[in-house]
Amino acid sequence: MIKPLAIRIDPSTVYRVERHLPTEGDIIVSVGDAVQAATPIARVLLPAPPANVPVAATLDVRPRDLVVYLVRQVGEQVKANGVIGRRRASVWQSKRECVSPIDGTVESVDYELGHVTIRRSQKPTAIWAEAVGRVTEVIPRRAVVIQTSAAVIQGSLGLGEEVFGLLKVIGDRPDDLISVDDLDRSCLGCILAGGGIENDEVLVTAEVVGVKGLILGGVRAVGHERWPVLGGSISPTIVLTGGFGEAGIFPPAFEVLLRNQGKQVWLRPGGPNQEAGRVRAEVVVMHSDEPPGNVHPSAEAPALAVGARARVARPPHLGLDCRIAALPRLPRELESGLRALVAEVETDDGRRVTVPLVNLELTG
Amino acid sequence: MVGERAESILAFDCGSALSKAVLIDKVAGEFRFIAVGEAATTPGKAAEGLAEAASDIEAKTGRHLLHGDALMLPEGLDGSGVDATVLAWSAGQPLRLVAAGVASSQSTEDAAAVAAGAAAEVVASFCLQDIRGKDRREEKVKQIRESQADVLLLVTGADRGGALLAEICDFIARLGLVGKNGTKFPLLLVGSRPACIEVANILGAVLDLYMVGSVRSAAVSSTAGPAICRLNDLYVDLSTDGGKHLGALLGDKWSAKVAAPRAVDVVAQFMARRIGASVLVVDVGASATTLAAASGGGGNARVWPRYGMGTGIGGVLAGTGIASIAKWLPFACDEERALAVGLNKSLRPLTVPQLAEELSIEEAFARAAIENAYRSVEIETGAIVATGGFLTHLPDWGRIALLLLDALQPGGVTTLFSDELGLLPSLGAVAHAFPQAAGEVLFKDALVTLGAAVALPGSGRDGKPAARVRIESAEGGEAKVEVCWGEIRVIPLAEGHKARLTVQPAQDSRLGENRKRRIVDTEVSGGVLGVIVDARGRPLTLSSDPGKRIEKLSAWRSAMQCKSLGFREAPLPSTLIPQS
Repeated sequence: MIKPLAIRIDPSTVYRVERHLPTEGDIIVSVGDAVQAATPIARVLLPAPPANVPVAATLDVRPRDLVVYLVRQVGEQVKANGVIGRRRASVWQSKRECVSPIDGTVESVDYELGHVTIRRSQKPTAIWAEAVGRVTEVIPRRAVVIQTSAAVIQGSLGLGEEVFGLLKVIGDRPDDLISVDDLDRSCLGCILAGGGIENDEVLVTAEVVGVKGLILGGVRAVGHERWPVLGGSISPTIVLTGGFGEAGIFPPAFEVLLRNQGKQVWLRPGGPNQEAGRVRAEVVVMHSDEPPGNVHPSAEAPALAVGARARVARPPHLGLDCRIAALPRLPRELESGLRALVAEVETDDGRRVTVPLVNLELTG
Repeated sequence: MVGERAESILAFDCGSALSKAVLIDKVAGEFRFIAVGEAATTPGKAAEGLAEAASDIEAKTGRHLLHGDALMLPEGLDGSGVDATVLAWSAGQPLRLVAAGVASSQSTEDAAAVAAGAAAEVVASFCLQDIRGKDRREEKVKQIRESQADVLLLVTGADRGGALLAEICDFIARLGLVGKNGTKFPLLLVGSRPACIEVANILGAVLDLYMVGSVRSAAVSSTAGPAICRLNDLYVDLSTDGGKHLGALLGDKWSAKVAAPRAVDVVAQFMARRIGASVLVVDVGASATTLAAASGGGGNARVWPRYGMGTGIGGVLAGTGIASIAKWLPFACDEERALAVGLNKSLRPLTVPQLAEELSIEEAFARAAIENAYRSVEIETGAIVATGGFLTHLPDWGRIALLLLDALQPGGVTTLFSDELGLLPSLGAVAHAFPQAAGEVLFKDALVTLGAAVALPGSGRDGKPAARVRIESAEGGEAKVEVCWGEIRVIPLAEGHKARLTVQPAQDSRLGENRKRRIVDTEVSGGVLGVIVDARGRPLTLSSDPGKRIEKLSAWRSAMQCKSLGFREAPLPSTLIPQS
């Protein structure tokens, strides 16, 4: 039996932040340490691109003769503007020198092209916690897990890079659209939330005024070519809580966003829900005012049972906020002719409809 | 491993959206299908989804298969557990392949041929020309380093090695490629023995080498060819992280772990030998589409890794465009709605259409996906098998048959099969270790014969008589039907029954190249639908007038007894009654 997916819409929960180092490094915190956003947790040597220096061409010598002219050999350190190759003056030729453009180490010499590759000297870079909480796990040289208290909303699609910014909710209803008129200087560095966008111009203007991210209920399907689901790229970062052609943020999610208006929010775009090997898109608001040791126990993922709250993810009841009222044991024939296990769901105003079980997303 | 003995087998099929477990056991001395369990594939934790699918079987059969999170092996005296397990795998992202060769055409063509046989895509390629000269060399290094490749494929062909090969190897060594988690980067080396030895001497210390023979023979013969075969194995190995994703379930006790395209290809080859005709298996999954063609002389599977009915819908849209999809809709629908249905399906691949119109939109996507994929292979085939999550979940056989006829437009007489329970990839994996079990279950339990489809060649004016079709069943029953151009007729002939089929051009009608003689006189087998006479013409053209097109599409659905959308709910065709 294929069970419905659970999606997190939680105003306050325990959130595990896994801070994976970009490359192996020294972790400088221990399990139990309290951390703030700007606490350094590790130091790493970030790999830097090497520089290829055309020594033979600069000295005007044949590449295969380069060995005679090099003053720094493979493995030796060089300083920026330090000489790495020299041609002495002679009766026929003037003196020439070739210098290194960077501080580094001579990595290799290409005697066919006459290049010297210099690996840039690496300086230790600090990795910040970027979370307020307590360290619960350290994976030596690789990662640190920080437990924090946060509001979390999982989305159906995330596009773009991970970003932080101040949350600004546009409008006071879940289906209020973001228009160009809503975008001004006050949006600089912000993450805006709205039911959708009025037109494509909003995306362009948002980028121009410096909006870091958008949390949207849905977007129009026409113009889909730009979405990375089809291999495009997009800016600013977007997290969709609903889907294509859907208008409005799911009301419980909208309430969580409203409650956190003006707070620092973290957009974590993942991938499509069920694509193997990828993570879900998330909107995270870390509660920096809550003491790190004061977090609640981790909530269990909502289970499929009568009484569980859910959202309908497909027409004809797309976006319906409901509670499971009954779970018939046998499959039923749908209007489409398909046979599927169904759930009878009920809205808060008492409306009762039947939907396929797999079209539900459990929310609590 | 072939040669193992097992009385009960649990075969898993781990797809990008859906994980399946299939229980096979011996019943009265024969291997038979017992039950199938399904669960959503858990992203990054395949073992969880597979365990859930196994537990679904436990719930359906009452047979204990799991002890905690692990499978019980072998079968106990109380009937719990199974003797063996196999896996067909298609859950990972496509392999990103960098193709390298001495000559440009050789490297790109051969690599493309190898990549097409597996869930892989060529993200960069280079040959000697590309790495000679500073700018070109630097550009190529940048391109390869940014490509985030998983595998490097080096094709040396018949080259015996020498300076040119050494130059390529030297360049590869300087790329400094590192595999996932700091392991050695895999290099699939295809070429002559002396060339392989030379490459191994230069690169053996820095890369993880996999060596196979000439790619030419592999590319044209089948996925069982060594290069494609190796690439499929690498796909399973890399995307399961060397089996770690499956560790909790079974450790390393799998009897076979096979990439799904290879599994489907094995089934196609087996069927071709068994029925004595060429076979095309059409597997439309959530993320990929596979067409596996086989005849008595071998097989050849081709994979479109981002072309599916779930996460792969974006690839279908990009490859075909919305117009090629919308033309198959049997009702007026604006582009926005069709797109929204498709794109939302890509976000939530396991959801099902509750409304009839939404199902029709999904079917239109599937038609376009198969049509576009088939266009680049175009194989003559005597039998077509529909499998994969989307096709096997369609609500009636008429829809499956019509979808195949629309998208593939087979000519002549073709037998249509449906993999009713979606067992084919699992059975392909079973065939790698237990061929007898796979064969017995395939024909006894897995395949449903939809019927024989007879396509009239050429075309004519709609409504004008095209041919007279006569069917004489072996039991003595007879049916005569006059078919008009532009229509489909279904003549009942029950599954397992055989009949003589003759097709003659109607008066004033020409079939194909001016032929007025009897064009078909053959024996056909019946099916759950019967004999389908397709007089819509080849190639099938749809009217540019939306009203007429919708009318035609609706009429064809009606003729195939498709449910819903206001079409008549026709009973299934009865057996042709013998005339006394």
